[in-house]
Amino acid sequence: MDPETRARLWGVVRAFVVVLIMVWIGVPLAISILYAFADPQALYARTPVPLEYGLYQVKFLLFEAGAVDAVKNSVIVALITVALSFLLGLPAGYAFARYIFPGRDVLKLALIGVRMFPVMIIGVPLVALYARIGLSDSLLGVALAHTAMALPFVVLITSSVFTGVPRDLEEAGMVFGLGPVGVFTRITLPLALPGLAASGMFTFLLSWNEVFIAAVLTLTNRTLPAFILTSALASPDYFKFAANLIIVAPALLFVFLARRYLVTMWGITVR
Amino acid sequence: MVEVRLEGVVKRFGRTTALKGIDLEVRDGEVMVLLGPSGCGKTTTLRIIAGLEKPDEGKVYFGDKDVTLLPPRERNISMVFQSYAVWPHMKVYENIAFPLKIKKVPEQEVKKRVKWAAELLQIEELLDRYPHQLSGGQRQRVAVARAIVVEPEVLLMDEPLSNLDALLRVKMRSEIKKLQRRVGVTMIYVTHDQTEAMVIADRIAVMSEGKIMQVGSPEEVYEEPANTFVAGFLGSPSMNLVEADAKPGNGMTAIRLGSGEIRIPTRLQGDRVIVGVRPEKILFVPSKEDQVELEAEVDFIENLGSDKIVHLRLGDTLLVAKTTETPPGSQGSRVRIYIRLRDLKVFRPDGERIL
Repeated sequence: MDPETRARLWGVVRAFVVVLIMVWIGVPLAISILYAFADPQALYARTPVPLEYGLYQVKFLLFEAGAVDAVKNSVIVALITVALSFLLGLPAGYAFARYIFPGRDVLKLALIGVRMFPVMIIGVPLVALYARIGLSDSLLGVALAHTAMALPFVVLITSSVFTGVPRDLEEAGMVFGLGPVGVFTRITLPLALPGLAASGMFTFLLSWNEVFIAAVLTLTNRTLPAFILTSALASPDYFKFAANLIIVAPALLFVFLARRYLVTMWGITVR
Repeated sequence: MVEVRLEGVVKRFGRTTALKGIDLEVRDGEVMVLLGPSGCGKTTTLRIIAGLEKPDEGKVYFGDKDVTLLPPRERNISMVFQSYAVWPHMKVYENIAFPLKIKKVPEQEVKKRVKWAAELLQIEELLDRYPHQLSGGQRQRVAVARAIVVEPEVLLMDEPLSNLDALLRVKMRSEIKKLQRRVGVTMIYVTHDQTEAMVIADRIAVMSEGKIMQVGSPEEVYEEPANTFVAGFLGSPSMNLVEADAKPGNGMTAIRLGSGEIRIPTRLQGDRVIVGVRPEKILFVPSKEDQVELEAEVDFIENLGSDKIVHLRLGDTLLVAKTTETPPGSQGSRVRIYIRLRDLKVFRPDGERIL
């Protein structure tokens, strides 16, 4: 086979794989969004796609069933989770990136090991513990649990982000008049910001999507996934599609906006 | 401007000792070049002077002040990094102005000083760009401008030219020298490039394996090397160093050099020596000074344009000669060579110079 045909063949194969992945993710997404707006009657009609659309089930879920409050709760929990896990994880990530200390590798491994505990097992004792210290059914309680889940990732990701900031640039800061805090805030942090924002986004979504802990720990203050798990999933299909839209749309929007902002930071295309 | 003094500086990294006791005095306003092969400790020495590393033993003085434990920002130094370390999130103007702003210099003064530095390095029209929009050479100029704008007492340079292409390197090294003259700052410059060292230095400290082998003016270290390391490291092609038998006699020493014998009018100790002679000091016509004369066979000749490198054979001893003249013989022919006595350097077998 001459190189030209081989290249063309490769092109075809690649295009095929790309299309396959697009279809794999895109089609269910498109269908579920379409169905979310379908008229309940039209959804069950014998047509390839529903022919009549309306906002009935979306409106009902949001305003009558209480999804708006659930979205609010989810945002609050996710923001607290991002804030707490960065407050604790950022210094640890920096330490892992810049310093060699005894037990460094063991600690790093332990961070991953923590994630091996099934959440199910922690769930129940956590309910008991929260009841004792007055955190049960509170958003802070959920956020704390999410922070515990996100922290290992935040530490590992930020440590690799900080490793990506050349040491020279920090040393130049030290030579030209900065102390340790100044070097961190004026050199390291701005340069790490794109990566840190990405890891913040990741943490946000981790909390946004987490359903088990949120469902176990709350009763009235449900986050969105917990709310959907307990209410929408026990309802007819068209409510499930509407619930799906409500949970996916903000996340998609958030990622889309954040990405656009990240790519143009410092006029540099970020990896 | 200030003199810099290192006393018995030792630096260990884990089990390896990077610096094995460095004593060095850099005079006020001079350019001291730390020269040596990679891994010799020259960059570590520079980083200790900068305060980026703490020595395990020994002291660093700026003038009479012990700065050993002071952080970099309290030393009134500047540095040009090998990678330039120009901050990518600041425009060129902000990069150069940054050290001044940290020092809370008034805004008007900052503008004036940045303009001065940018003019000196001919980068005025780049001030509004980000570093990633600049070429390597331009980034290097920004790094130098940032380093001189603060009017430091000591300017440190860590292989600043090693990432530039050959042509630009030649241009920049004379520019840096001129710049240093104009600003009059004490400069410590690290390089592994001997030509660069020769051009820029007032004095050179040749380093090897964590020790300083010799400190002297470029002429001194080239003409009067203190040991075989310095002799062999400087010069291209490098100095001929031949181990030979010596026979001390009455007020003289006879040294066997391959098939020939030379007599030097000094009585030397020991029966083994290393004889050193620079390739360009092997002459094909007699000089008018005291000299030794040998017969050699021409092995082959490399023509480098203005220079010819003549490989000579004296029995089993090989010598390399460099000449700008047409060599007197062709391949395989026998020629007479002359070495002036003052061009003959003699070392002990352990490398120390004895004559």
